Amino acid sequence: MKNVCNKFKWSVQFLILLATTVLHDSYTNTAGAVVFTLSDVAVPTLSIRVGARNSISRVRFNVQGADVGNGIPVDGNRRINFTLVLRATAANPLTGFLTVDSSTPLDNGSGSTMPSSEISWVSRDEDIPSGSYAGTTNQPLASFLSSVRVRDRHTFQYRNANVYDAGTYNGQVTYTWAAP
Amino acid sequence: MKGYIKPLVTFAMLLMFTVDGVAESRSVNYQDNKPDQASARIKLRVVIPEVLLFRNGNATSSLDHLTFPTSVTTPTSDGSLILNGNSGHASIVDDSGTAAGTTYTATSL
Repeated sequence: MKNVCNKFKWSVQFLILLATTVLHDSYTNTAGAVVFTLSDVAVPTLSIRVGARNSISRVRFNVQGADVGNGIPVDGNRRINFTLVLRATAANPLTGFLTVDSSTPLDNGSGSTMPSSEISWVSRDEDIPSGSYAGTTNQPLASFLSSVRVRDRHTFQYRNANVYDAGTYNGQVTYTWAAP
Repeated sequence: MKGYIKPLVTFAMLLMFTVDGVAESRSVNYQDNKPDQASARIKLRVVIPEVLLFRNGNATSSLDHLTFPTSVTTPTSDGSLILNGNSGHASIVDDSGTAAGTTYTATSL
């Protein structure tokens, strides 16, 4: 009886191993011929990347003492890359809207704030056009029809037309890519 | 029954590996879990150095009696005078011969 049980157990293990091997081979496609099947069942996909892949990028503006408030814009220390993707079926296309929330002013931590409208950008390709932050929650920037992949790069500037209290002003803006 | 556990775990791990391999990220920096939108952020930082501003009738009652130390430099852009003090707060002592109404910027280094 013990031998029968052992044989049954090994048989089941062999069958499971065979099944996993077949499944694995079907994904790794070890067959001699490769067949591409294009089906009309594309999954709608929407993605956005702004700046670095795995962290939140920071743009820094260093105003020199002699230049404070002189009206000459100060360039940011880095440019920011944008990648937007919107994919849908041709039968059910989508429109994607890119907006930005810059309603929270920059803060120096000592009671002084600076509106984000002091910061503007120049677009490399104008896919996402040049402009400046409006200081609002839902500022429209661009819209695109599916299916599309948009890549652009922005160079930022601090307007430097006003005199603010000394300090390090930190803030954050949020870009939202939506296809309602 | 113990004999079945190991191959079952192997099978499950293979399935998990396969699903991970075809997954697609909808958002890289930040995702709000809504099916139709994704968001990403950038941080902004503006560094304003310590600057002492002296404006006519504001920081001083009169600009007609101010002189500047020898460290004064005069930019050509708007006629403002920049004080590059050695340390701490720059000082403005006299301003003989300078018209009132001019904006003076004293930079503390």
